[in-house]
Amino acid sequence: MSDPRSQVSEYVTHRRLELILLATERCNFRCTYCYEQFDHGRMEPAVVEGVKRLLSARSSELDVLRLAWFGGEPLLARGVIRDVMGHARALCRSHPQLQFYSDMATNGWLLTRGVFDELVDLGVATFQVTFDGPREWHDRRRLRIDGKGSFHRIWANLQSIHQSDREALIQVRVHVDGENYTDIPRFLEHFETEFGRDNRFILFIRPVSRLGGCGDDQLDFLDTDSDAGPIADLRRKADRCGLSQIGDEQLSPICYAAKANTLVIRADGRVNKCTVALERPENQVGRIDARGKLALDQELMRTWIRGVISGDDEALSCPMNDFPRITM
Amino acid sequence: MSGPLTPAEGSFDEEGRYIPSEAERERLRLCFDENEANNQEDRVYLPVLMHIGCPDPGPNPILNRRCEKFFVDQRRPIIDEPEGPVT
Repeated sequence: MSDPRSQVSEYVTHRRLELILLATERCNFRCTYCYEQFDHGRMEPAVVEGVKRLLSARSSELDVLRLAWFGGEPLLARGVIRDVMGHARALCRSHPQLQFYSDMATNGWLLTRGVFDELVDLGVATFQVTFDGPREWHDRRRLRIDGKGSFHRIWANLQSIHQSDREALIQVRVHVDGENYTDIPRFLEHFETEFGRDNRFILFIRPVSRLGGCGDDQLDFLDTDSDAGPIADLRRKADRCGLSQIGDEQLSPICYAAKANTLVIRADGRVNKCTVALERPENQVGRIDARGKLALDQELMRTWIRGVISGDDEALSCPMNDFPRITM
Repeated sequence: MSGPLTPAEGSFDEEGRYIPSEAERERLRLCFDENEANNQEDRVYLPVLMHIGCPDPGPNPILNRRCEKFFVDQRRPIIDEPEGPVT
């Protein structure tokens, strides 16, 4: 990995804009480690309008536009996604210099083949779907809102997507912790049998992280720093199976929240920088209105992007570290 | 710049553009194209000799690969890329 400080000016350029859009903050799952509060529903029409107008205002100067769909579960608000993606594609036709990318983090429950095909046609090129290992582990952690398991339907959706001829990347994120890691190899073998020859599917083996969820105390987190640890073993196992996977070396050392040209748009129109510290006062950096205008707290924003200017590795990798505390 | 906790010095406009201070522009060695047809004085460009590595982020190797070309010569817009991901 090159020195991230050699790239930082890319993260202030006006020619690039990345919006992480929370289409809805409701979710049909209640994963045991989730840190979200689900207080806000579908993105408000005035916010959707504001996002579209912002894109219109910026499109003539942009070379790169990325829309990342997040939530909540974004597929609970497909109308919002359709509306914004359709607008973005129209802008691309008017502005041929514009490179448009879109990706989505979804729990996969609603990602049927028909929905997948429609989203790919709208321009979503990457989907991230998560498993917590084989069915018996996954169904204990990634619970639906009624407390039932979710493995069978998500797996069936991926099987159905496997039959689609649409080109997209499906990142299958595998959560590993101290309890389930001995059973992950069985999941990898199952995955290889089902999807191993489909180069659209790629594995992303990740330790479960402490992100402030109410279930954090009950989880057995792994030490992830060791090359000889379980995560490294599982990645080697995936390699031996011939599975494509995303390694740590492919992850940017610079957090999106440190960049001046990346914003999170909440369903209620609040603007954040970080998708984890959602309710922290430091993260309430502004609002977007229906005209597409952003009212940003200059001092907070300057603090979030301080790493871009200073080149400090810590401030670039997680701007929340050492962020001056604000009390509401 | 005095340390890692020192905030940036520029400001954001109402469409989310960051306008660096003069000192920041110098620090980042940003290039400003005086001949740009639309003459947007504050339009910020990449350094011409940007180091090429893994320029963008995220768990998205497609984006990385496609963007690498963009970063090699940021003044040349990519308009001949095929639609859809490169796999």
